[in-house]
Amino acid sequence: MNAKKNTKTSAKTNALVFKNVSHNYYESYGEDKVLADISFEVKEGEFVSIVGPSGCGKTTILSIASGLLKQTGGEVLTQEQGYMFQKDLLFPWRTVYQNVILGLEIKKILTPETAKYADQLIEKYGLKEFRNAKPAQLSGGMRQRVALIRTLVLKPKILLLDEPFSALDWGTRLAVIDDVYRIIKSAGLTAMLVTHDAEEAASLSDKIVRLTARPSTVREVISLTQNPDETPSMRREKHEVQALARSLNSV
Amino acid sequence: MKQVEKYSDGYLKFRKRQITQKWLVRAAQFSIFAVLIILWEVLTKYQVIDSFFISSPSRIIKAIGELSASGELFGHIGATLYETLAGFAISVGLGTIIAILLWTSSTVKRILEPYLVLLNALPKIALGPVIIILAATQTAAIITMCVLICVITTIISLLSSFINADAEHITLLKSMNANKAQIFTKYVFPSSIPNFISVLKVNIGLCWVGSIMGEYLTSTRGLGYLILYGSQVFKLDYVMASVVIIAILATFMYVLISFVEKRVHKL
Ligand SMILES: Nc1ncnc2c1ncn2[C@@H]1O[C@H](COP(=O)(O)OP(=O)(O)OP(=O)(O)O)[C@@H](O)[C@H]1O
Ligand SMILES: [Mg+2]
Repeated sequence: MNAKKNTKTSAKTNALVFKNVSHNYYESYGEDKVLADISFEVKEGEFVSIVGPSGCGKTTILSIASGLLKQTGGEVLTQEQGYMFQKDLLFPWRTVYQNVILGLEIKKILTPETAKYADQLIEKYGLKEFRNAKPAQLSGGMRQRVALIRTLVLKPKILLLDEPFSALDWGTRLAVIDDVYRIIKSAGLTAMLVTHDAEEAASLSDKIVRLTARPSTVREVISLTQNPDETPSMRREKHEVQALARSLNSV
Repeated sequence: MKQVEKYSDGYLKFRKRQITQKWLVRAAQFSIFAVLIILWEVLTKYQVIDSFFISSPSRIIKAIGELSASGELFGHIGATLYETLAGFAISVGLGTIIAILLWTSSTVKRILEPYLVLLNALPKIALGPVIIILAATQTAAIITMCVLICVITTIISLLSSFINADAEHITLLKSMNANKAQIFTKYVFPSSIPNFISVLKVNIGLCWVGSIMGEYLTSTRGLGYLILYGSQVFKLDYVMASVVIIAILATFMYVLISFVEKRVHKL
């Protein structure tokens, strides 16, 4: 983690801002206070991880950032985003290609150009021979890659990732993380990742937002300098990363 | 992917056993059928049982021959088929539309829920006389009967599969700014197709019940009418002939839907 060739993160503009955001879920039995006071900024091109105890509202933050949920207090500035979930959520009756163009269909922007772009991405990420296969024929890692392409084809400014790797087995997981990280960085995308894996956060992020237990506030924001020549799995071997992960895991 | 190279001995043995099994089952099925028919024919022929009451295979064939020679039979079959299929189409169409509307508005659904439960519990056949008085024609009364019998279960079954469609897939569509119609056509309906087909299977059976019962109550045409008429004038051959024809037609429709189901599964 040394500061060389640190170009991507130097962009000044904010891609996403949370300003004193609070959120309560309203239930018939009462109010469920989840987010108390959350403020942070994500710069363009930055890779930010959100970590915190189980149930502290990480998914809630992504839902608010994506506009799926309206926060009950505070301000949010956001841009065109793409959401990637823990499960790949591919539609089993659609082929790889048809899954990839789902968002284009929904947004009614399926044109010869966007369809061609979809095919380019499928080819670029090594799924060309599976273009017309059904998801059931793919491995877990390939399915997650299709889910990523389905998001990327909409050309989002920000990628919201909710534990997208946690359903994969360990070996696949490291490879898929390297893969996705490379794709995100080479496309110059801003990313916000929720994860339970402290090493994953430490090896991917330019910034880690650490939350307290519910009702949650920001416990600390840790800025990191990553070497862009290293893959996340290489970084996992380094003792600074492991030390940081250990400190994130300690209460 | 087709295997081109030679299969192992173990696999060939396994396949051979599988195929033998299959033919064994077929042969047993056919034998049971043949034995029953022959037994029926022989026992009635030698007066062990009275063919006046339970007819016999040869008498049934003769009755079908008579009825089709006079041209009567096709009128009866046509009438019953029309009622059954119209009842089936209307109940599936109406049931699907109402299920969609209730899925769209959870408030309307909550308001109407107790009425659905009530109507579902009610034996619809109890409304038979009322329907006959209200409906303009006999055919309309019988079709209404079919629709009443199936439509409520159609609504309840489809609605529950719409509501139980996976929430995470719906969240994904919402994150792409999908509207309600898109959520329905892209995910909720396609994921409910297996259930939709089982609804079709149940409905076709229930519509046969509706049309035959309806004809018992009010008709001068149809296979149900022929059964009633046959039993009243003690022509039990007519009764049995109608039952055989209904069994064949109903099975054919069921098999047709099963065929569609297999095709859908392959998609
Ligand atoms: N739609 C909802 N309605 C009511 N309460 C909710 C809803 N979604 C989440 N919650 C509650 O809000 C709290 C935070 O949920 P959230 O899913 O944001 O946490 P999380 O940090 O993502 O948890 P995890 O680590 O398990 O993924 C939980 O206690 C949950 O029960
Ligand atoms: Mg979560």
